[in-house]
Amino acid sequence: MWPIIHKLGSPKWFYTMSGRWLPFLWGIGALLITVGSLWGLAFAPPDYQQGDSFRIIYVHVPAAIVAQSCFAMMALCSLIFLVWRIKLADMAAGAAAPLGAAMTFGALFSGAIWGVPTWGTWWVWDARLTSMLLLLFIYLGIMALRGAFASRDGGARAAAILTLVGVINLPIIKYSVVWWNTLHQGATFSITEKPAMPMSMWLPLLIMVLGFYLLFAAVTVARTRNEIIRRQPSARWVRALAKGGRHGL
Amino acid sequence: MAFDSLADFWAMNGYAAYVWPAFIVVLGALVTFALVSVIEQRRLLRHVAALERREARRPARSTTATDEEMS
Repeated sequence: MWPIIHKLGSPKWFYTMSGRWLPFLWGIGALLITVGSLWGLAFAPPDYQQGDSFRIIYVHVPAAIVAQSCFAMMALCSLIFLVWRIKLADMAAGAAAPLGAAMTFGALFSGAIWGVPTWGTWWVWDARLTSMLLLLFIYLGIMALRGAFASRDGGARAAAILTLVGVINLPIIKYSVVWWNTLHQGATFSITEKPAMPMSMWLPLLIMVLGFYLLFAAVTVARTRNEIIRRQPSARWVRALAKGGRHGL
Repeated sequence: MAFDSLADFWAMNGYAAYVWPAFIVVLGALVTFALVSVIEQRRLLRHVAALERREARRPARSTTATDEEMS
């Protein structure tokens, strides 16, 4: 167990290994999102009540799922960083935050647009919407806090602690549609129940969710790699990498 | 195909003003992050290569001073 953790925590090992996986993450992720978008936009049947406005689901749900998964991943990294002082975990948490914030904004934005034709309003202070807005503010807070310290380690520790506190919001988002009477509908996908949609509607959505996960992973890995170079530009292996011109994707 | 023509597809049966902005903002954010991260990697490695060349000309200087100080 310990040798694996230490290997995983080595920036050089991570950089080399991730370089092999990254092209596949980019490629398959882009392919799934292209297929899922075309399918969802052009081939899935229109909803019997919402007509073609329901197609917003194909970006709204994947963005919301990735926004929350990203936070869970950051919380895990923060815990690893605080307990074992593995800097790579902190780099990964820092690399993931901006895209998580962007996906939270994307979910709120697409949801607001969707609300106009379906609910008759772009915003209500409903439990699901409010807890998602709170998630966006927590993301922005973590990013601001990281940069607000003179020492990098101080900023990293503060960001990690705020991330672990903010994790309380995740179950609140998830169960907000169950605990409170909300305008927002329940979960689209569930492990235990059959989807309420026909397959011609949920299959492209599933493809989009997978594509979003892969691209999120690719962007986070790529940004973590950039942070590694940024932190140790004098390391011999980084110098060799820059000289060799084999940048990888 | 759920639409009869390409014009119908763009019009989204009257929901074009809702569907397209939602897609453009969310997918646009993903694509922007992807492109920026790749461009940034190239910029960083070019920067490291330039550091290497500069230090090769002045071998007396310590290389560790520049470490941890690049952004």
